[in-house]
Amino acid sequence: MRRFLSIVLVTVMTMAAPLGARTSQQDSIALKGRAFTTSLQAFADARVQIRDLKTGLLVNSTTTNPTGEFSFENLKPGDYIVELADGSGNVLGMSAPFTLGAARIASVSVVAVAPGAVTTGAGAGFSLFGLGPVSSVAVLGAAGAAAVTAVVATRQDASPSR
Amino acid sequence: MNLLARTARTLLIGLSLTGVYACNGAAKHTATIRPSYDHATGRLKELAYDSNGNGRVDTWTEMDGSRPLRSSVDINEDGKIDRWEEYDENGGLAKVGFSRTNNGKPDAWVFSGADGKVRRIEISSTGDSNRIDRWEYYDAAQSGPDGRGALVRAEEDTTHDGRPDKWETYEHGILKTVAFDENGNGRPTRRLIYSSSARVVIESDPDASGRLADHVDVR
Repeated sequence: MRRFLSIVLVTVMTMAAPLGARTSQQDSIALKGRAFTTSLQAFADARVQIRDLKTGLLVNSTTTNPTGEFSFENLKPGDYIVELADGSGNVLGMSAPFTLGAARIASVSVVAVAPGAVTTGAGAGFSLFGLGPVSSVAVLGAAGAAAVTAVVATRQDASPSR
Repeated sequence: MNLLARTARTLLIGLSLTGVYACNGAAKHTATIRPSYDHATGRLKELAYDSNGNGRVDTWTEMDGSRPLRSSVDINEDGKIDRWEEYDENGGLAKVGFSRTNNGKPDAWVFSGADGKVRRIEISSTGDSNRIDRWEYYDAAQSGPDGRGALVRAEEDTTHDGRPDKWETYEHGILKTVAFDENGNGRPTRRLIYSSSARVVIESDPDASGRLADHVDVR
């Protein structure tokens, strides 16, 4: 339904526009957005690409600025998805599919989801600090007070990596 | 438990703590663990712990006698808790909470298997443990970062209606497919299959028949 409305709106605007302005208006949709790491920090210097969902082709690509912002100009109406990719082209995250229609400016946000993004972005990712062994305090419950020594030992070994 | 038994257990814990204190006194650690007891019952109710021996408590474990209930850990000692551990009735680690944004509030919870390896991570974009909107599933047999195993699939509720509307699958930690439910009926209406960095197959269900019939193959 939304897609239908968008098509209708684009059609109405196209019919109302003078012939000479028609092409430029159709091609003048700008998309602005922000990319985030898995830890929801700004994803700087990330490769962002926009894909036409009808043709499957990549329409354009760019790189985020230090605050994770990116933009695409001169997009045509249609269904798209924005992808975050690493240097090898592997997709690290993507927006939901969206339709560009009558609006001249649209915005979208993209959050990295793939594990590769954890170490890619600046300050990205949360560390588990070695999940399994850190259940040291649990030893206390099982073995009683004598296990307090074990708490000391394992905590000394835990090295914060954040 | 009668009073005698409670007193004996408290004394045992107290003596053990004293022992730890004495043993570690020769090393760098002093006053490593500070217990708190319930004045009325004498039961141990909290252990405050200085894990790195710098004189500042960074770990607090809520106790029910000898049974740990939950711990809060300020790993980087910035005044904000960044790790939350919860224990089951046997004292085993039930789940670990993390703050992805390091704001002192947990928004991701990690569940591990009996081998201590990560099986599932639940994430709340709103930081509400009752409103999980992303579920990640890990295979412990495959290697991944931080002992997590490898992420094999994930589901996400992007519209916050309580139902997943986005499904991802991974191979060796790399995203292979992502499917979206774009009309809220609980079924995918569009799926992207990433075969390699240069090839994408897009399947869609334009007539909402429940079958991903149309597809575009881009090489």
